Amino acid sequence: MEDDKFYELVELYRNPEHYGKLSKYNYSEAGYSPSCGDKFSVYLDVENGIVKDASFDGKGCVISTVSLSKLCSYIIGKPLKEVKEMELKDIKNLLGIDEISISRVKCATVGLDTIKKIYKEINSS
Amino acid sequence: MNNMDIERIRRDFPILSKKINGNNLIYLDNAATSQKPSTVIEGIKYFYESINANPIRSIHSLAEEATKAYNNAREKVAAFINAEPEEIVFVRNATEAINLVSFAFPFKNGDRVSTTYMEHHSNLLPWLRLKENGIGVDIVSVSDDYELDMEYYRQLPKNTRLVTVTHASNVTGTVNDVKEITKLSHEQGSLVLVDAAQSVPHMKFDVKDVGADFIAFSGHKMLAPFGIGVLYIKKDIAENLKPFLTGGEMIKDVSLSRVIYENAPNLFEAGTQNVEGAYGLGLAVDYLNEIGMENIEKYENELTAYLYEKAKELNNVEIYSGKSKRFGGIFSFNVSGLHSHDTAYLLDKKGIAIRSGFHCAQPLIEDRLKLDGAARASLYFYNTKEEIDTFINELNNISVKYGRR
Repeated sequence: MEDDKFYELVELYRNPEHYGKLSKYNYSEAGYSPSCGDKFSVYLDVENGIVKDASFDGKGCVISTVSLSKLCSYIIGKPLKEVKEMELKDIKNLLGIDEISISRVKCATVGLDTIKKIYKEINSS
Repeated sequence: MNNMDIERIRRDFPILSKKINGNNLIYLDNAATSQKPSTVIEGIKYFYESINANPIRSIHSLAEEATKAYNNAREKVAAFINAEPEEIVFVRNATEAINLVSFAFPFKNGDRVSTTYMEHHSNLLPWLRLKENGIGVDIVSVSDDYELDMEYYRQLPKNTRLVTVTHASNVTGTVNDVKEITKLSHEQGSLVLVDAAQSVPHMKFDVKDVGADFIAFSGHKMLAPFGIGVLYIKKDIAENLKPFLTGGEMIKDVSLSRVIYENAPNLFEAGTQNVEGAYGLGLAVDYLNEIGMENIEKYENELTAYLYEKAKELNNVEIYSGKSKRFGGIFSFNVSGLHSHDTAYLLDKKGIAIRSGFHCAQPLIEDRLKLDGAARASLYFYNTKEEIDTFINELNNISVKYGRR
């Protein structure tokens, strides 16, 4: 990753969009990335399968925090089932980067995995 | 600096001339694992070209050689820490050594064991698991200066059978007074286990001087290959322990109705062992002896003092190590406002390898230090002042660009 790109991500990390618990939500789930010690909670307000609002809180690194922030922006207004098909390359697209090292993959996907867990939970109930 | 010729020493470690991201590798992750000298690397090749057979059982000439090599490695390791060969059990690593004791120790319901807030998970989780068996577990507190609460050891809770403690913390660098802890615990009838994974590689360690009953350490942090470690069990203690893993080579006689077990150390070495690893550990010990553990300790102390002195130049960097009375070559820190993984990522771009995250000491970092991780530079005797200069310089660049004022 170029230094400028990383600097841009650090700026987003400092004041991430969609940070903080939603006042109204009907689903929440915790996500962990043990190597970093990332710990997040994701909050979703879902109505008829459509994500009305999304947010997160907790602590993590630049990659995990910005991934989750961008993922919230992306999913708002869309059907939750979209996450089912999403994978690492989609997160890289959201971040605007081509490469991610093996040790950081879990950072990039911790948010996506957490939202997928909510999707599975809804569909199994 | 002293009689250590660092340039010559560095030539013995082929990996130290590697380039990382276009820069010279500066390896400051030695508390995670050390690099290996050519004697160990070539020695492993020699083992498979010239010695390899299954030792102890087969009686052909090659197996004899393998047995000799295996026994010889045990003798070298024993001499290295001033123990007897039959007190040395080969295991995979310090983690396995401590788990072995947690299974083999004859605890009874209502007994107590203690560990500390400063531990690596390897000397924490094996004991926490014993709670399920009705064993009480005490966790000794750590002061703001990263010292253990010595009052605890002066009056152990009743029924304490085993006191376990790390010799050197992998996060705060604190070197604990394990000799004093052992003396106090023995006076009150408790045995002592010392996790020496972060100390044996860096200083002269004499088991008779420390006096502890169990000592655990890993080979890979002291120039040896992965997958070989040591559990020292003091003579006379072993006969009261239960077997851990059962199977081949740990028995004297077996029928379906009765098993007579071997004595230690074989009792605790079930199955074919990591003979190549033990051989490599023996070569690593040879290398360390050649340089001299006193020289290594002295040089590392000088490097550590230099690092902490240089670190005074840094702004926007919080330091979490080096406050205790005695500490080793560990430098734990964060750039204010930056996650440790991101600091590690930025240093790696300059070829500087450090560790970040919880360092397998989550209760210490999260509950005690109230952090969501820390970056850590850890030294070994092949590091140089020039490398420290580069590290501090790059860390300064990062803290100026990204650190929150």
